[in-house]
Amino acid sequence: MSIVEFVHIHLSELGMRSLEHLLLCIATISFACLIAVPAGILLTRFRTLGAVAMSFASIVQTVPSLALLGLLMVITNRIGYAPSLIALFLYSLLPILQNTHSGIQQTPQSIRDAAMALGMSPQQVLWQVSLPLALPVIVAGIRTSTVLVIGTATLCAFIGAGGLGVFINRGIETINPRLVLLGVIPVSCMALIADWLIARLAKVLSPAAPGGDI
Amino acid sequence: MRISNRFLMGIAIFLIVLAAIALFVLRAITVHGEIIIASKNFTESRVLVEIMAQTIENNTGLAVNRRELGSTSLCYDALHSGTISIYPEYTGTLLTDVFKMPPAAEAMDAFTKVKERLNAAGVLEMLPPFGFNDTYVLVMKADVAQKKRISKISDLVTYTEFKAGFTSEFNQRPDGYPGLSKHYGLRFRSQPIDLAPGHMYGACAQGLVQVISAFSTDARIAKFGLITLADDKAFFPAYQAVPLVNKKIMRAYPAALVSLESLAGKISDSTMLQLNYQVDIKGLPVKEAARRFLAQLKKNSLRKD
Repeated sequence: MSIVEFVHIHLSELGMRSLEHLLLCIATISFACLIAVPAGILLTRFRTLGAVAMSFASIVQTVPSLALLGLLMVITNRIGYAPSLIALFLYSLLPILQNTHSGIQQTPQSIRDAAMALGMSPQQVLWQVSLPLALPVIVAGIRTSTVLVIGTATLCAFIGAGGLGVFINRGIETINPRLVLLGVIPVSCMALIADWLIARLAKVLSPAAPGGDI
Repeated sequence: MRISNRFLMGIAIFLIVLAAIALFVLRAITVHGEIIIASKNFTESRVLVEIMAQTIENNTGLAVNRRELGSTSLCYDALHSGTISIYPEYTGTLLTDVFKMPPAAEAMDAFTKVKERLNAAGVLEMLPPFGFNDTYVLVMKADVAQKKRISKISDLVTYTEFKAGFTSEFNQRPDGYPGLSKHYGLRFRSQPIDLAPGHMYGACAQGLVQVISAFSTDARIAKFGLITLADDKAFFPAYQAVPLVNKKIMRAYPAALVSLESLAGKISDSTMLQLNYQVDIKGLPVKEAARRFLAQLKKNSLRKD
């Protein structure tokens, strides 16, 4: 079978699987940002709670993905995207949480002192000084998380969530490297494009001063 | 520079809308069809699912959702809880792996034993078998086996230095290495390693491992120059392939059940081997292989009439 023929017979499924993969990742990352960024900010206020939450996220990260997916399938009593979404969400938490947390904590004390000296309340220091300074670090966390999720989502094929992992599994199973590549190449492209897109988006959306860079 | 509340609200709303749209579309494209048929993650299972799905779709007009799950236990649990409606299973696997009954002693009547157990529990039901028996086999490279004069499993007993590579299921299951090892008194010096089904054949052909577990209807055995060892002390039970259905769900679709029963006995050992060959070796998509098989089946039945 020629390459052209191979791609041709898999084209419609490739579109479908890519869409499944993409949508699952978009939903996961959106939820992760919604939860993990505010949580990361909040946790700088509560030191012990912060440490506990951070270790929880780290522990989740060490659970093997297949085990977590299998477990969630049993717990949620569902197959497909519901348990996958939860698993990927848990995996995506750590980089965002950690970067937000440390980004805000790493505002130099001298800058904080200067802001206080100007008469800012601690609240104002956070919103107007620490957070804008931490923004690049937070965005970096989101980018790491996105790449991680797009890669890990291939494993969701094991619990019936479809996605590009289907091609990879099938290719490994049938000893067909072309089929593996049909899954791997789009996943890599998707990760690269998403990474670039988020970096661009952050630049465009960032409330920086005119001419300034975040 | 400052981060305003409006900016943050904007981002939050954007993310919520994005997630909602993604989930909505995801639901729309993945959750369709009333009957969900799941396969395990190997070719034969995928082919059987596709054959069942197309049979139901062609005969009843119902929409069928095909899904793929990673292992026997994932499939069985999902069927038992009603998350899926049907999946193809093997009587020997149900007997030993699911119901934990001893393999060798019940070899002959796996089907009857399993039927009794399922009827007693009342949740699941086996439909008539497809007709083929896909048993576990031990496989070696043909030239190595010839040189060492190994043709049956009991010949292996003296070769304790052999490295074995089995699927993780085979390494765990009572009808796999643990049981086999007891039945034949076969103990490899190093514990057999876990290999993914797709990697076993290549590893054996390259001589990285000497013995692997395989399925008798697998076309890759011949393709990689491997031979199967005879189960001379009759350890493996019969692994007849059957559609396993969730009674409660399928009660609502009698027409689908009738159409599935039309597949009873229609797939012989050699037909299944041929179907696996089409997909594994020729690279034919599963859908197409199933479509051709059903077209052929229809032609044959018309000829008989």
